[in-house]
Amino acid sequence: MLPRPRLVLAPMLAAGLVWGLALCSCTAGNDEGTTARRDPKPPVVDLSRVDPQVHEVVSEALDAVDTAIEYEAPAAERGEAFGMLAELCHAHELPACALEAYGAAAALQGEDLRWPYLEGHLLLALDRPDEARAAFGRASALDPEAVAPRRAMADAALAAGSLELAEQGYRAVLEVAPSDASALWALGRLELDRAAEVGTGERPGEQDGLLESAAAHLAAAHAAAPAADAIEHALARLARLRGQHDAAREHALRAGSTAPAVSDVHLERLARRRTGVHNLAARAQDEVLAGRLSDAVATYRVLLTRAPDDLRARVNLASILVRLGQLDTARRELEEVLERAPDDIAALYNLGTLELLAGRAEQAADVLDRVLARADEHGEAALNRSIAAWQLDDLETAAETIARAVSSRPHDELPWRWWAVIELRSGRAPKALHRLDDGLERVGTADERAVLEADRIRLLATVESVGVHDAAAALIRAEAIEDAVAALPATLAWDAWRSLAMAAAAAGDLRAVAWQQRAVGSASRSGAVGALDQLRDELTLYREGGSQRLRWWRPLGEVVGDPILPGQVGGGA
Amino acid sequence: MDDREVVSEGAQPTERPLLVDRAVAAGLDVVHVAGRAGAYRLPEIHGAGAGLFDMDGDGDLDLFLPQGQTEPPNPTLVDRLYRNEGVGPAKGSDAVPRFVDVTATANVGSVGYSTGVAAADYDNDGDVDLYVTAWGPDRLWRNRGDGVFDDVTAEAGVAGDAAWSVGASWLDLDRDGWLDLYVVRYLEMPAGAPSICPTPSGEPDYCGPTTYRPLADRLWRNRGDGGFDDVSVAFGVGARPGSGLGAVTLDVDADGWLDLFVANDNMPNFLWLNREGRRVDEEAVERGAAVNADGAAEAGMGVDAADFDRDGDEDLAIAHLAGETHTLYRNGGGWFLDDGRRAGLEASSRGATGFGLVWLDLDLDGWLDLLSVHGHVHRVPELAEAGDPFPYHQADRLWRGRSGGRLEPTAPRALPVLDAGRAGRGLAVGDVDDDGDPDVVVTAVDAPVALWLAQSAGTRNGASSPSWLGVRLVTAGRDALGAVAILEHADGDRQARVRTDGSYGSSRDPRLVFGLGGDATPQSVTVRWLSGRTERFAALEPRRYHRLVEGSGTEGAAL
Repeated sequence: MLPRPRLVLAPMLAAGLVWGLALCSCTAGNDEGTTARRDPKPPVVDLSRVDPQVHEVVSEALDAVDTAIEYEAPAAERGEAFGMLAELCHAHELPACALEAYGAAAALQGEDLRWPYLEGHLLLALDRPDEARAAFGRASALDPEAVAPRRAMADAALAAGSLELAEQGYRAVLEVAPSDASALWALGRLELDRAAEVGTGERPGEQDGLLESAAAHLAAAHAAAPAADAIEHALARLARLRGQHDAAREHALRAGSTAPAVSDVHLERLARRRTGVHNLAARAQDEVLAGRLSDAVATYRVLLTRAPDDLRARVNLASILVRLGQLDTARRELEEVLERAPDDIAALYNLGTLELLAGRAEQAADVLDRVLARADEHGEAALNRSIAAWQLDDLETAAETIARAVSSRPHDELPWRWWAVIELRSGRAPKALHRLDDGLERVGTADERAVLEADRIRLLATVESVGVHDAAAALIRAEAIEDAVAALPATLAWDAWRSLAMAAAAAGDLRAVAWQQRAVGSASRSGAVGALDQLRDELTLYREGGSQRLRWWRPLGEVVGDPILPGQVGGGA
Repeated sequence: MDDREVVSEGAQPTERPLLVDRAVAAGLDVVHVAGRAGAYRLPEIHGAGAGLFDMDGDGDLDLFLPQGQTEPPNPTLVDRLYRNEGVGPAKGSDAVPRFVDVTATANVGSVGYSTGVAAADYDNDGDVDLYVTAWGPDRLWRNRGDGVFDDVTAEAGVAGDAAWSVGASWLDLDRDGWLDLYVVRYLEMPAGAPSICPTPSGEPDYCGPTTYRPLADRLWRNRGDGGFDDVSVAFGVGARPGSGLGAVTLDVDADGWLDLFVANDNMPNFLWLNREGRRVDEEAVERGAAVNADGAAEAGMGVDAADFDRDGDEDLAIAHLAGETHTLYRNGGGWFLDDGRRAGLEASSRGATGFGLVWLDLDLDGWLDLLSVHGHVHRVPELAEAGDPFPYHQADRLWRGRSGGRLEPTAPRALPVLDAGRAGRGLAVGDVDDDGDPDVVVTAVDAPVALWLAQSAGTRNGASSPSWLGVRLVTAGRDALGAVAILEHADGDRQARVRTDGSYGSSRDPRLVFGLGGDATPQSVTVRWLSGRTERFAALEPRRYHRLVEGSGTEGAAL
């Protein structure tokens, strides 16, 4: 390992020096603070290849440790300095430094749960689960009522393959937190494992008992965390072990990847320790994926103060601002990018989308044409160009560009739906039906198929010129996909419910009201506020038994594709 | 129990190791070139597979090695083909087969960025052909039978669209006697797509699969006239984009029609159920093989299927990323349960990033072992911190199969070949020296190819070595891919399917070997052919291979 490079004193370091001096003067004569001979030494860490900002913060932490030792600060404060260094090294994946510093911090602050607890997480990440479990055990001993170290001990036992210890560990969590969904879920799964094992032996009675216990734990977990659809996988496994394959299938199809939420202030603090432009960019992307758009804006703002020339970050910021409806601010950011990089495809695409949302179809068309001239397979740009052409009553261009969008994104439902709308508006209803059928052949997911199927039902029920118009038959299809529509995310569900409601209305069926109510509810939950007024008007119409001849196509504002971050495929670079 | 560091009994210091690397002695001198030059193009860290197949019909296994490429391209970097010249007259503990580089004469030395290979006789002419996957255009090489291959990609109609594929399976999906082709495609990497994703400390590193768009796989139906039709959309495959890497054929629902499992990277796996050759339905979620027991989609790389617990159906093992675990989907009548924890696989694989993975009876004790080769795809902080110039390497792992469906990990230190400081990728299994035990070819990123010869069987080991029975199932003059051989044994029946797919970008020996332990008596085998015919072959002498041809056994054997 290389020696740590010394740095010129930065302002923070100078402050640390004063802090160290002050501590020294106020603790003079205290034995606890004058044990320099036995003190742990700061770790040696090679920072020669790391990001400059990471270099800076870790170096400052190292210097703070040096200073605390040099001026014989009290043990607790030296421990704090080591702990800060450990967390920074941990957060930036410098594990040798982190382990050494956690050890030093724990030696100096023996009553502090943080250091053995975080050391345990680091050891677990390094695939050293037995050592991790020991560290979590030390943390738990410091606060026997704390849930997090107990759970972590059980997790580490599981990682080590010590299934009985893991089971005991999760039961220990339930002693202090009886409705902890994570522990209940884990216990249920471990019991399912054991049930599977005894089931293949000669102890079927024992298997029944284990399955019963697992069922109870999983039910309790589900009750404690109803949004955690990952529990459904365990319920499917339970049903399979019971030989109930239909029930297993139903649970499996309901299952998702959302595990019971676990709050951990120490790990959250650790995540916040990460610095450097690249880490801020990654954090912002995570925030976008989690739907925390305002947090992402704030993160990008911090990033851009540190790296004002990062055009990617600026485009990303603009795309989020577009999604938040802050079009003027977004425009300023995009114009700044385009001033420096006039051909930046991502910036042009987001500007085109912005113009479309601002109702400036002509300007949108111009900008999106520039995108397509430079990236002819940009499916999102082709889709939005098609919408712009539609708004300009240029159906020929709309059809031509939507064909390009479908060619680039054959597995996405949106271009197929829009193509059907264009065909319909162009007076080619049978072709609209063909587009939807083609889309049903090619789209990627069950959700997308359900949405396309709903469109198809709407078309068959409400458009006589389609050639096979049959409202009654469409209503039967609507009944058949009701469950699939109910399983859709709200962002897709509202329009699908609307389609079913239209089919019901066309067939003179009272379910039109109920289904339209669900459309309104889904639109409200998904934030599709632009559609709410129209949906409510239609609801009123159904309640009054009014006209069933409704506009087939959806509000245009809802169709425009989301702006794209350059990090995502299709955004161009 | 803690099963992380069990040193298995077969690897005590006083005993001969189960595997020894004899690549150099065998004349295998090729080094894989990933073309790493600081751009961190994702294919670089994914390496390539290897293909063991009998190119010249002389009964022994030859070797095809896909090669990477630099940027700009280096015309001397080409895929390589080695002919196995056999071990010669010399026998003994050091007997090693000799391989000769025949790339140039065989005409297979194309320049590209190859990633995998699938071998089979697609045109039923008695010679084994090759489908080579790539980051870029794939290639179909037709074996002319005279030691030369023709590139027939275009005329066969399987040119595709130059995307990135790794795994491929030859299977007679519609049971018309002609092998169809399933190509597993991975990710779309358009020009300008991001390639560097820094570590938290800011050092450059490879991005993960979620940075890129997954691709739908391709299914090509063999017309029987040398050409193929793209039936991806018609069969339902084309509507499901996935980040697939490995694929393996099996018959999930025991209906006699071959199904296919695809291991997807960081998204739910696919399990395509064959509907009598007319379409395939994806049922991984419903049947419990899409995600692990925690409901998490894992980073599937290599995959293999075998009846490791001898209960009459095929179980799946999949290699995953460090931090996840390798997963064992145990089959119970067509329904899968993630059983890695109970079998002993989970804890001992948690830190491993696995690629090539195969079931094989390495010690010929009758219980299948599991071997997987490892190597990270992201920088390992502790290696990087220690100044390692290639902080991605990792020890490989062998799990010894034990009765009751248990897998017992062997510590890397007990088997030195497992800890050679590589980032292992391809893993092709086959009896290279024809002594009855399964040998292994291992490829690694920017590393020489390894040839691990098993030391369990053969004349070199003397009379005390374990016994075995080898069968080659043949139909219409070619290996009967998809057929199942069932060994009738006093300890319980064992079954194995003829396949060349599975693992990671690799193609295996289609011959089947049953380890018999100490049983040296003649054996009987029942074969379930893909045509639906069932035949029995009795009094098969152990310690040798038998060629079992469809139509030559006793028909109608009860199963």
